Order: sequence, then structure tokens, then C-alpha cells
Amino acid sequence: MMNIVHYIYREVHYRIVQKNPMLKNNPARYNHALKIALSMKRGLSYQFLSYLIFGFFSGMGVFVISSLDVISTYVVFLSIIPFIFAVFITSVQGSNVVYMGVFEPLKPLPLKLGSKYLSFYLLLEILPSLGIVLPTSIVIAIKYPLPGIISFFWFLTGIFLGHIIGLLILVLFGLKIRQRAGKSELLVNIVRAILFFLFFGIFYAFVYMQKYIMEHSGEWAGLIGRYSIIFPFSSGTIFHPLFSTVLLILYMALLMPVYYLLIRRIWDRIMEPRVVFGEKEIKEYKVKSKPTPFTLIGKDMKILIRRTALLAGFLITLYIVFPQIFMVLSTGKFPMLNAVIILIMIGAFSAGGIDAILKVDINAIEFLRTLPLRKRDFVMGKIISMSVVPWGIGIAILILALYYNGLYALILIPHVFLLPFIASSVVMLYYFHYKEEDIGIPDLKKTDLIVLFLILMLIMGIISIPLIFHLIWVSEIVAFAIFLILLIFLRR
Amino acid sequence: MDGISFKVENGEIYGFLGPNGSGKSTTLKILAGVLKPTSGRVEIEGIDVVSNPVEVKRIIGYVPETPTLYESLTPAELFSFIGGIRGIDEKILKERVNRFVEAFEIGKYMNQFIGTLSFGTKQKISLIASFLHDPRVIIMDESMNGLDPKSARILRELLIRFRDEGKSIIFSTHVLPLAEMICDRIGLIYEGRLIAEGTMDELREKAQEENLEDIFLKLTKSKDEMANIIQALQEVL
Repeated sequence: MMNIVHYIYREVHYRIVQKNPMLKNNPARYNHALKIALSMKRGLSYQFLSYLIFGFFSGMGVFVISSLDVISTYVVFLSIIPFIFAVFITSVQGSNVVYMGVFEPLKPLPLKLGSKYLSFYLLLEILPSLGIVLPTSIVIAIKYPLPGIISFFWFLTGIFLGHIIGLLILVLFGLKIRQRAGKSELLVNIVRAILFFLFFGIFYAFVYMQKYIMEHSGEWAGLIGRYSIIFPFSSGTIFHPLFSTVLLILYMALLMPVYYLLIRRIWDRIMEPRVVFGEKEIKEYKVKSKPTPFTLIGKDMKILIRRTALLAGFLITLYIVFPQIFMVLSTGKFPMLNAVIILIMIGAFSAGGIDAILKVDINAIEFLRTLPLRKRDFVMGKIISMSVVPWGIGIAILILALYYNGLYALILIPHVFLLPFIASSVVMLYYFHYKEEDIGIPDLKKTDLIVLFLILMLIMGIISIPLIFHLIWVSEIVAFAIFLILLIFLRR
Repeated sequence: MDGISFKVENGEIYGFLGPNGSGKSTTLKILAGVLKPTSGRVEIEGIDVVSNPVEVKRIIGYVPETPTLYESLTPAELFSFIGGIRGIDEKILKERVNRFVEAFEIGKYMNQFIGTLSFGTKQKISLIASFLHDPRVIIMDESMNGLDPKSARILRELLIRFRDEGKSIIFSTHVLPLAEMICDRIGLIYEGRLIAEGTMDELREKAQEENLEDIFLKLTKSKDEMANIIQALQEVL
């Protein structure tokens, strides 16, 4: 049995690495990813250890808490995290198994295949997320042995419940989600993008959660008591061992048949895949011809939203800047100078999305080379695509600045648009300053990235000098001058 | 590749034949401006491919051996993308897409992601993508691969029609009867060198063989070798 599960694990992870455009053109990263992907032990341990780091901080938090109400509330909130992980991992990996057809090579072999392999594989994929909660359970168990053990079973139940919901998502949407592109597909992609951000946002939420619980545990204690049979509130009953254990048994009794039904359903689809292609005749489609820059940007945006690995890289500026925005806003004030500093920071980190933006074309680069596309147009398209996320964050900052400072904040408009454009232009000029018309995907070496970072810091530093004297408009004139110089280079 | 030199006239179908790894695809990629030659000169309609690749790409349609398309786009989105890059008028683009989609029967796949489609359907999309701008020169690398018989026939008829309109067509194939049927001239490449070139009659005379398969095997020195290979296989099976 382990042999088959091992094969499935290796196959799924190998194909994920192969399909990940972020790893192409970078043999070191590719080999490292492949090394982890092909070893189940290494892959799972690696994930477990990553989660354990967060789990360790969580356990430390519980260690210093003495109030039972606070610990109960903490367990309730903490159980949500592996639950969300389980939903995400099950739906993603389950859909990978179905789409990649990893069971296909096994079908002609004299093997008795069954849903147990799929089930075992998916559960293995989720288990590392226990690393987030294990230290907390251990710490509670040291102080209060029985509640500590029960808390661990509630965390397990949360993971199992998340796994079942993930399977349900897979049964309901899994086989349709990537097939067609229409209005509903666009909606699904936007939801995926938001979910993806939330998934990473969990770590920010995690830090905030500890602070929140300490301040509001009293209010939550009442709520936990009132809704104690519903997950996640049910995990707050750990200090009522008998009630909690009965609830756990009831949960398992309810979840096991649902789990069995869902896994069987997915297994049936794997064994006899539904042929979705050509099921119905679709003759309505739209073909539009737009000017070259819009065509290039539109293509980039569509691919970025549809490929999760690229989306993560594309949103990188957001991850970097978000905590700073969060910290500034938590003070309840937003002076203009702070707004400008954040805008400059957005500008400096705008280039973070370059890897994802360039990798959009990596699988179709030969096709792109067959088209009469000028390098200048390609570069300009990429600059604008790279600026989309920073512009979006910049506009959000502008709205906040307007809210706190009134119409005077409109003075920030040039910085909102110019700084990301400047940073993106510098990066693209750095990589595409050669004479030939060839369009390629440059290999982003660490040394290049360091040099680029230094150049960008220098430019942003020059733009920031007038801010020392609170002269925002002078800073904008400097930015505009740099923008004009870059435009001249880009036109060449 | 070593010293390959040939010329294709307007209104001519030029077949490019050779064993696997002989340099066919490399030659065609250089012609299409996808690869750069280390030395030598390539001109299409008087325009140098190396120094002016963008201008050459405006007038050619290149179909690669394996379709490498944007897998996360739908065929409709891909054709729109090509229309935008090539500056094809929207009305003309719609008309051409509709015609080709109908001819190759891919209407039901137009809103599906290309990555989810079969090899044959991807090949059809690749063919349509290279014909949309009505190219004056068509370069095709084993483009019949994966096509169903009906589509292969349509493509064959299309190529003949393109030739009659005065377009130049260069294509490589392993389907020798097809080459024999539609090519005006054939070039035989072996180990990176053009070892024979001419009409079917000229090749027959050179090899002293009747059909193209025998001519091919004789000129690539594979005829005697084949008998030995078959005998060796029979011994182990």
C-alpha cells in the first residue's frame, strides 16, 4: 500500500514542479524543488517543520496564559487555522490527482485499486498542518493533561472536517473549475485569488489573533458556551472533558460516513472519468482585436489570475507592503508624510513581481517568437502589467489619505502612478537593454536581483530627499524627471 | 547544419524530408526567425531574417512540430491575442476565425483552456493561429501530426489552394506519400546537409528508384541497414 501511495505522491509533486513556470530557467531552484518533491519523507517533514515554527510561537503564547477562559478561546481560534489548511490542501491536491490522471498508469497493471489509496494519500498531505497545533496541545497537556489531549483530538477533528469540506468542494466544483473560461470562470478565478490571499493572510491573522484573544476572551467565553456543539466553538469545551469527549465521538460518527461517501464519489470519477470535452456544442465565442499593448497586458492578467503559482509571485508587493500599512493604520492616524513613505516603499518593491510577470510567457516563448512583436512593445506591456498591483495598492493608500487628510491628499496622485512605473521600467531596461529584437525570458540571478535592488533604492532615495524638508511636490518633480528619462530609454 | 542552400519560388510547395535529427526543424526555425544561424544568410521575399526578424514574421506563418501555445488561454482568447499583435482588423479576424473554426471543427473547444485539449486539437489551433493573417509564406514542421483524416485532407487541399494563389510553402513531413502527392520540389536533408533536391522525376532519376520511400531510404543509406535491424528484432521477439 505504501508503495502505491508513495508513487502517487511522487507523481503529483513531480508534475507540480514540472508545471510551475516559476522554476523554469532556474536550474538551482528547480533541482531543489525536485529534490523535495520526489522524496515523500523529506517533503512532508519540510512542511511539518515549517508549520511547527508557527506552532512553536503559538505554544509559547499558551504557556504564559493562566486563565482557562483565555485558553479555551485560544483553542477555538487556533483550530480554525489547520481547518482552513485542510480545506485548501484537500481541494487543491485532490483536484491535482483527478486532473493529472496519476492513477492512469496503474490501471493496466494487475493491481487491486481502491479509494483507500486516494484517501491515504490526501490525509498524508494534510498531516503536516498538525505542526501548527501540536505544540499548543503539548503545552496545555503539560499544565492540564486531559484537556491537552482532548485539544489535540479537536485539532484533528478540525483537520478532518476541513478535509471533508475540501472533498465536497472537489465533488461540486473540482471537475469543472478549470475547463471553461466564461463569466462564471472569471468569478471562480477571482474567488480563487481572494482565497489565495486569505490563505497567506492567515499568518498575519495569526499574530493579530493572539493579541485579540487576550483582550476579548471574556466576550468569547459566553459565545463558546452558547454554541458549544458547533465547530470551532466545540473545541473550546476542553475543560469539560466528559462533554467534550461525547461531542468528539458524535462528530466522528457523523463525519466518517460523509467522508466515506465523498471519497467513493471521487474515486468513481477517477476510475471512470467523465468526458467533459465535447459534452455540449458551444458555438458562441468572442474574438476581439485590440491594440498591441492592451493585447499583451490582457494576456498577462488572464494567465496570472489563472495560475496559482504565478499569482503568488504577482501579489508579492502586496504581501511586503501589507504589514506596514496595517501597522500605520492601527495607530488611527495617517499623516501625509506617512502616506508618501508607504508610496515610496510600494515603488521600491514594485519590481518584486518581475519573476511572475516574465514567467507568464515561459511555456509559450517559442510561439511568441513567431509573432511580429517588437521588443519595445513587449517590454512596455510587461512594465504596465508589473505596475498593476502596486497601482492598485497605491490607489487604496490614496483613498485612505483622502479620508484622513481631505482633498489635499490629491497631491499624492503622481507618486501613486509614477513610482511603480519607474521601478518596473528600471527592472525591464536592466534585463532587456541588448540591441537585438529577440524576446526571451532572462534568468533572474541573485546577484542581478541585488544589483537591481540597490539601483532601485538609490532612485527611491533620490526621490525621497525632498521629503526630509516635507516638500512632497519637489519629490514629485524629481520622480517626473526620472520618469521622462526612462521614457526616452524605453523609446529607444 | 552544414552548407544548406535552397530557394523556394512563389506558388511552390517545397517538401523538406529527412530522418529524425537530420536538421529539418532547426532549418525551419531559422527560416521562421525563431532561431538564429551562427553563420550564413536567410532571406524571405528579399528581407533578411537575422537583421529584420519582425518584418519577416509579418509575412510568414510558422507552424511548429509541437504546438507550444498559452495553455491557460482559450482558443478564442489566443486568436484575439494574435489578432491584436498582428494588427488584424476585428471584422476580418472574426470572419477568418469563424471559417477556420468551422473547417477544423473546433467550435466546441473555443471557450476551453488550451492546456485541457488533445494534441490533435492543439495542432489545429496552432495551424489556424499561423494562417489568420493570411501569410504570403508558410513554413510548416510536420504539421499533419495528430490531425484526424478529415482535417489532414482539409489542410492538404488548403495548401494546394495557397500554392495556386501564389504563396510559397515549405513543409517537412515523414508522410512520404503526402510529399509525393503535393510537393512541386523536394529537398532531402541528411546529417545536416542537403543531399538531394529536385522534382519527383529528378529524384527518381538520381536514385534509380520509383517511389519516394525507396528514394528516401536509398539516398539516406538506410536500405541495407533496415534488413539487418528487422532480422535482429525477429531474433529477440
